[in-house]
Amino acid sequence: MTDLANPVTPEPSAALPDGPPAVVRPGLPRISPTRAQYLLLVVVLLLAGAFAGQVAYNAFWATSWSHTMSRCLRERPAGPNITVGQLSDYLQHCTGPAEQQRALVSLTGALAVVVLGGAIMRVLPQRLLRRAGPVTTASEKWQQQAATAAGDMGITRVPLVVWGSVWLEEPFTAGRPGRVSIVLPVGVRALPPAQADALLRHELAHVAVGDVRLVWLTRGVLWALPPVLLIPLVVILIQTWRTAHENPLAAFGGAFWWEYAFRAALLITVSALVSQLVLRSREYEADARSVHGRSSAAMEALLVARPATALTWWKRVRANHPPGLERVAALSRGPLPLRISLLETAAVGVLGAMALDAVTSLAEIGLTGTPWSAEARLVGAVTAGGLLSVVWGTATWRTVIASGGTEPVPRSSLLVLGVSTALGLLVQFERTGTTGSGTLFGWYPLTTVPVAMAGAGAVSVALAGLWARRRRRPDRAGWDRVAAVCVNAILFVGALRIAEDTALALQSYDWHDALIVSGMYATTGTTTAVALSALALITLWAALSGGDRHAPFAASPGAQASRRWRTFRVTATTIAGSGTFGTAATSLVAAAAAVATRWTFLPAAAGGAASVHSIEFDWWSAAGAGGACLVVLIALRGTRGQAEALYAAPLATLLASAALWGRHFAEWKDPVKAAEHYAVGPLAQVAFLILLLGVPSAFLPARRTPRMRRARTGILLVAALSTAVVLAILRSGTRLLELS
Amino acid sequence: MNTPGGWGAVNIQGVAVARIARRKPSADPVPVPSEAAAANAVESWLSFNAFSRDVFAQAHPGYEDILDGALTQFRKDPQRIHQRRSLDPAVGTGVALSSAIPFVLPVVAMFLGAVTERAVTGVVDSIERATRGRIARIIRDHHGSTHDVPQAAGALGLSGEEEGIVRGVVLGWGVGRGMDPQSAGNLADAVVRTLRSYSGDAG
Repeated sequence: MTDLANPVTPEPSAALPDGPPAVVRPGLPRISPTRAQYLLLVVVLLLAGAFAGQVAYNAFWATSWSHTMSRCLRERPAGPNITVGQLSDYLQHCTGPAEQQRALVSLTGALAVVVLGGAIMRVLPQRLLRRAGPVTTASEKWQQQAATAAGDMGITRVPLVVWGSVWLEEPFTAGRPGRVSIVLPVGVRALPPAQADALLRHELAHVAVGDVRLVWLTRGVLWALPPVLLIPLVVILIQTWRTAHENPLAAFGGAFWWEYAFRAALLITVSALVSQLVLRSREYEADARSVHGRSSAAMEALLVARPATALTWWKRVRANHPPGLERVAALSRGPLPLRISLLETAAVGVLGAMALDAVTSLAEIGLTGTPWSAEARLVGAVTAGGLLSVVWGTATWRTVIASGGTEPVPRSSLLVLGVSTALGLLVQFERTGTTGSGTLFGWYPLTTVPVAMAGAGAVSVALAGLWARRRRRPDRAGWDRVAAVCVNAILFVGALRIAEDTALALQSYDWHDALIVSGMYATTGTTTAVALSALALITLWAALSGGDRHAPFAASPGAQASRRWRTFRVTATTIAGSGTFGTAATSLVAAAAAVATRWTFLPAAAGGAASVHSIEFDWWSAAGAGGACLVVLIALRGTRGQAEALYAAPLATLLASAALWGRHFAEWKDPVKAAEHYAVGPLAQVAFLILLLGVPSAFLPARRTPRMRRARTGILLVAALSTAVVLAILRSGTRLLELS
Repeated sequence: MNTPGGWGAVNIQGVAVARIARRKPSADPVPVPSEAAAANAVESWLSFNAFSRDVFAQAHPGYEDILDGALTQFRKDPQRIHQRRSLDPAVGTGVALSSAIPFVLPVVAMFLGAVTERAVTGVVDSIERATRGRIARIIRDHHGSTHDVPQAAGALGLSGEEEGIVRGVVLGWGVGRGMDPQSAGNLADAVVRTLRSYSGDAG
């Protein structure tokens, strides 16, 4: 306990003798990545509510729904002139209203969670304040100190400082939005002024980042979910009793309800644990914000002053705060943000996968009969991919950039991301009753989605390293955030799209054909190609402004030259001296070798120079150039090569495509359309390869070889490989051809 | 000297603390002051409030502003001390700043309960009957001085040995209910000093 022998009440003071001068820490990001983890958790819980709504719908309207489906099938148009597309359109319009009603009722379940959660969100803090009370308003000096600290943190609405019950031991912050109070225990009065100030700032840091709202929202939703999940059971109980007049409990004897209960319990348990995990992570952030621009000595003294009691693993998992020593260790790291932990990565993977299937399922129902009925998978991928990109991708980028690319991301995190994604697809609540059929798209997504997620993660990390190593101006830090969001959104959404395409293809084709359909001939090829192009441009820009450069053609000092000439010379020197030049040369050689081989040898399949088959061989040759470039760069540079390949491989593909397209320029009826085909298919195939090789390349060491030797070796290798790949393509017969 | 039942030997300060520290936290109910007692009776709320205030001022000078709130909370739930589980709020600092203050009133209530024989037998017997009587008279006379009860200056004071017993007993109760020995000792000293000031000794 605190020593209260000192008769003088310590007064809060704005001038605190901290000892060493304050260390000014770099600016902290405005938006905290860990907040997004709360968002992901809330989304998953709402989706669980939507599933409960769907089950309730089945209880009320299952009969009328199945009558509608039967009628639509019975009355469908028949005849030799009816195309598959027309039949599909008819079924969409016929079943649309019933499906939309089903989606609406499902969403009502989610709405119930929101409403109930919102109500609980207001009740829980008040309950906590009552338990901590009676509270009395602290003196004006404490309010003034809080106002000063709040001003430092940019908080406009200063919380009220109050004293809690004499039995209160831990200070905390609670209250409704806009009426937040910082509740202090009487023991604060015995603290040295610096520690009391540090404690106050820690609480204000929670307010500054919106923790108070987020924590209670998450808890409110978590408490709201169980009653909403019980609604279908109550509905069926009442229905069974009223209509069948039999023992209502007999309705729950089937396996469905046991599975429902099990998955619900699993979801709630996992969500509660994840909530605690995020809560503990937020403490590190609050600590860092509270000492921003100041010395951390007082905060550290506060954290280590109380002896830590040994906690069991269960108590550690349920704890609201990390151990004091770990927090001190985090503070001693300085302004570097904490890496997202393996446990957090696992949680993100599980929740992200749950969101993917649930949103896609809901979208498929809700969009039936609308012009966007074909975009259900896109909705799911954008939602889940967007959440994953913000929660994991940008958090990882923040860590890598802050360390200047020197602190590697553990490779195990990629494996954890993949495995946890698979786990999420398996255990998610919405699979109740359909466990035997795997995920929404069968069992194949259990392989394709985790591989894609891990691959996207690997590419993201590689790109983050390249971005971090480029020359960056402190006043352009905003570009880091923009790049992180854009790159990760493209990567994760695109990876999910490719994974779903591949899973669907595996259901219909053998693995060989499925891989082809998922790349070159994917229905989403256009968006994939555009996305890869955008990534390539971002990567190229980062590489061109990178720090890995030297200037072999240095200008003589004091040379009198025109401004324009000086600019040109600096730019040329920059490009020539940078690694980008060597990499671009690799792309050029790959394209040249591919084109030369294509023009030299004839394909084994039948068809003339301008036949459809010939065009497809052109596409595959261009893709082969990009693939060869990718493999050589990864082999030579490991994970760094993977980042460079993001612009080098598409460049090689486009160069080869351009040459191959140009050869038949005079023959095209629609040159622009033809150019689009020559670009889209090969780029989509290269994107597929990049994703597939993402994880393996992450496990290769980042080799450092002299730039000139690397360039020479790379050029030779890529020329040979490109030639070999195109030869193999030409000799493969019709195996790669879509229309064979 | 008879050994108070269950509390240890004469030399309480050292041995009793050791013995009590090994025991589990006591679940003996805290004796609650009586609503029906006369105003100047030691067992009355008035007397309890006044004695607590004086002990509090001795133990925690500068914190008098929170005593009213503490008294209100004690009156509302005198057995609160037996609830070992403390609040673990979600959005907080994660640092427990425990204080000796919440233990003052329950321990003082235990002391007065022992003095007025309203506590459980083991608690009552921790102080000899004669000492209990002297303490009760000291407190009653001090708080009842407005009722023209003559005070024999110095004659009602406790002997050094009795003060030692009081100190040891209060310290033992405090430690037994979760106080750290230093804070419990501080509280025990405050009780002794208060009794001294009541009896008019220089202390």
